[in-house]
Amino acid sequence: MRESAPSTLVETQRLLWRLITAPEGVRPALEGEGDPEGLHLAAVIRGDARLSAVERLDVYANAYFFRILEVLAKDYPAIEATFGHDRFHDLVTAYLAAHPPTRFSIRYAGEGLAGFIADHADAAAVRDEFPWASDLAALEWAIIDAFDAEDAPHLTRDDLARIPPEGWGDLRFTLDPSVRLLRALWPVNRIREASDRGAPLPSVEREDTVILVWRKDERVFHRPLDRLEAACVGLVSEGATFGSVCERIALEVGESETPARALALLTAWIESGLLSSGV
Amino acid sequence: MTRPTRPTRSYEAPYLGVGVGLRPKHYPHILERAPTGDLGVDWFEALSENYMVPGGRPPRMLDSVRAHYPVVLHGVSMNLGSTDPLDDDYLDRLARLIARVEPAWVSDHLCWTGVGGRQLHDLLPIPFAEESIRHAVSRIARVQERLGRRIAVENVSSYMSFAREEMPEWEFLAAVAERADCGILLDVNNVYVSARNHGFKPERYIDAIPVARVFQFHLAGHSEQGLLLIDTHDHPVKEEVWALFEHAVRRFGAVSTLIEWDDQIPSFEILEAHATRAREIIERVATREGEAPWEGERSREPRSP
Repeated sequence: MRESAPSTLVETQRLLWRLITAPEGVRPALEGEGDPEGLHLAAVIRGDARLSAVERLDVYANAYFFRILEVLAKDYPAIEATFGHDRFHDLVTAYLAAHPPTRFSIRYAGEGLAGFIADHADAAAVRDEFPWASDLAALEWAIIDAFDAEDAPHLTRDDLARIPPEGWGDLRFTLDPSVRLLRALWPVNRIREASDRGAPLPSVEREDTVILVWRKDERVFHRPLDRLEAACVGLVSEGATFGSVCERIALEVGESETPARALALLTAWIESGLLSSGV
Repeated sequence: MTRPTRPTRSYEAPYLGVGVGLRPKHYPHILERAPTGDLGVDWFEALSENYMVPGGRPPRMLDSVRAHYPVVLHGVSMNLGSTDPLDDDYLDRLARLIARVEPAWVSDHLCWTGVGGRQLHDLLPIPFAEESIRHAVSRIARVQERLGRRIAVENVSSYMSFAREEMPEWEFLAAVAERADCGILLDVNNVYVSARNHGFKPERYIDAIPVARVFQFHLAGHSEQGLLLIDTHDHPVKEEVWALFEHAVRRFGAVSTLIEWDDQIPSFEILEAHATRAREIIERVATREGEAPWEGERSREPRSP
C-alpha cells in the first residue's frame, strides 16, 4: 500500500507554490493569504538577520518567473520582437497566471500561449493591439514541435519508382510526423521570416494564409502554400488517395494540365522531405 | 607499492573519470572528435528531459555520443520530495530512455519541483525532518523498483530553510541514502553554496556523507546575488570550490566527476581545461601514502553501433 504524503508537508508545499507563483509577488500574496505580517510564514520558513523569509522566497519567485520567461523568449522570438521586452514580460505574467506549467519538462511551458492569446479574457487588450499575435504564436509553436517530432524515413524518388505508375492513383501518402499545416487569418510567416533574419518586422494586413511547417535534416522550414497546394496537402493529411488529389488538381487546372502539375507537386514534396516512406 | 583497498561500496559505480554535460552548442565539435576519442573528457552527462522527446536531433545526437562514450542520465523532474503522486508517465518515458541509452547510472535531485499537478521547474528543498525522510525513502524505493536499478540523488543548493527542521542537511541526505539504499550524487558546489547561505562549514557536510554511497561528484560555478550565493552554473568553478573538491577527493578517493555548466556555456576547450584540472587533483590526491592512486575499474564501455 502506498503511503500518503504527510499532511503538514502537503500544506507547506501548496503554500510555497502559491507564494512563489503569485503574479503580484510574495509579500502582496501573503496579504491575500490573510498573513500580512508573515507570522504564519515565519512558522514555516526560517528568516534570519541577513534575509527574511519573504526575501528568501523572493529568490524562488524570481527564479520561477524569469526561468520560464527566458524559455518562452527563445520559443517565441517573433512574438517577443513584436511585443517588445516590457510587453512580453506582461504577456508572460498573464499567461503563467492562467496557465501554470503542468508538464514535467519546461520545453512544454509555452504550449498554451497561442490559445491564451486567442481566447482568454486577460488577453483581450493584446488581441485588440496585435490581432495577428495568436496566429504568430501558433506558427512559432509549430516550429518548436517540428524540431523534435518523431523521426520517420523519408519517401524517396526511388521508392516511388518501384511502384508502377498505374498504381499511383490508389496510393495513400503519409506526411512526415513533423509536418504541421496552419490555417491562419494573417500572413504571420512574413513576420517570423523577418525575425529570423534580424530584420525590422513588417506590418501585415489580414489575409487568409495556409502555412506549412516541417523538418528535414534536423532543420525546420516553413512556407506559405497557395490554395491548390494547401488543399492537396490537406487531402493527404486526411488519408485521401493520390487519385483524389489529382481530381482536386484537375478542378483547378483542367484535365490536360493535371499530370504535370501533380508530378511537380509530388516531386517537390519528396525533395522537401514532406512524405514518409510509410506509403 | 601496494594497491589501495577498494572502499566497500554497496553498489557498483564504476570510475568513469571526468566528464562534462552534453550541450547542443558543442554537438558539432563532439561529433567530429568522438569517433577517434579525441576529446579531453571521459564521459558525458545528459539531461534526461532534453532527450525524452519524440525524435529529431537530440535523441540522435545522444545515440551518436553513446556509441563512443559512457553516458549518465541526470534528471530534474522526478520530484522525489513532492507530496504529489509519482509521475508514472515520466517514469515510463525515463525507463524507455534508459533502455535506449544504457547509462552508467541515473540520477535526479533530492528536492521537490511541483505540487498540485503544477510544476515550478525549480529545485526546492525539503524540510530536514524524520517525516520527510520516510516520505522520500518511500518514493525512491518505488522509483528504483520501477526502473530496476539504484538511482543517485543529488543535494540541491538552497536559499531558504524550514523552521521545523530536526537535523542538518548532511544527516538528512545520509539517512535518506542509507534507508532508501540509493546512491548520492554529491554536488560539491551546492554544498559550498548552501554552506554560505545557511552558515555552516562545508567540510563538515563532506565529512558526514557515507563514502560508500557516492556515485558521482558535480563541480560547477555560482554567482553572488546580494547576500546569497546562487547556484547558477554559469561561471567557472570558484577557487573555494576547487579546494572543497580536493577535500572531498581526499575523503572519497577517485569518484566520477562532472564539470557542470548550464548557462553562458563556454567553448568546449574551457570545459576540457576544467576537466583536466579535476583529473589532476584526483590523480594527485586520491592516494594513500605509499600506494598507487585508487581508481576502481575505469570503464569506458563504448557500445558498438
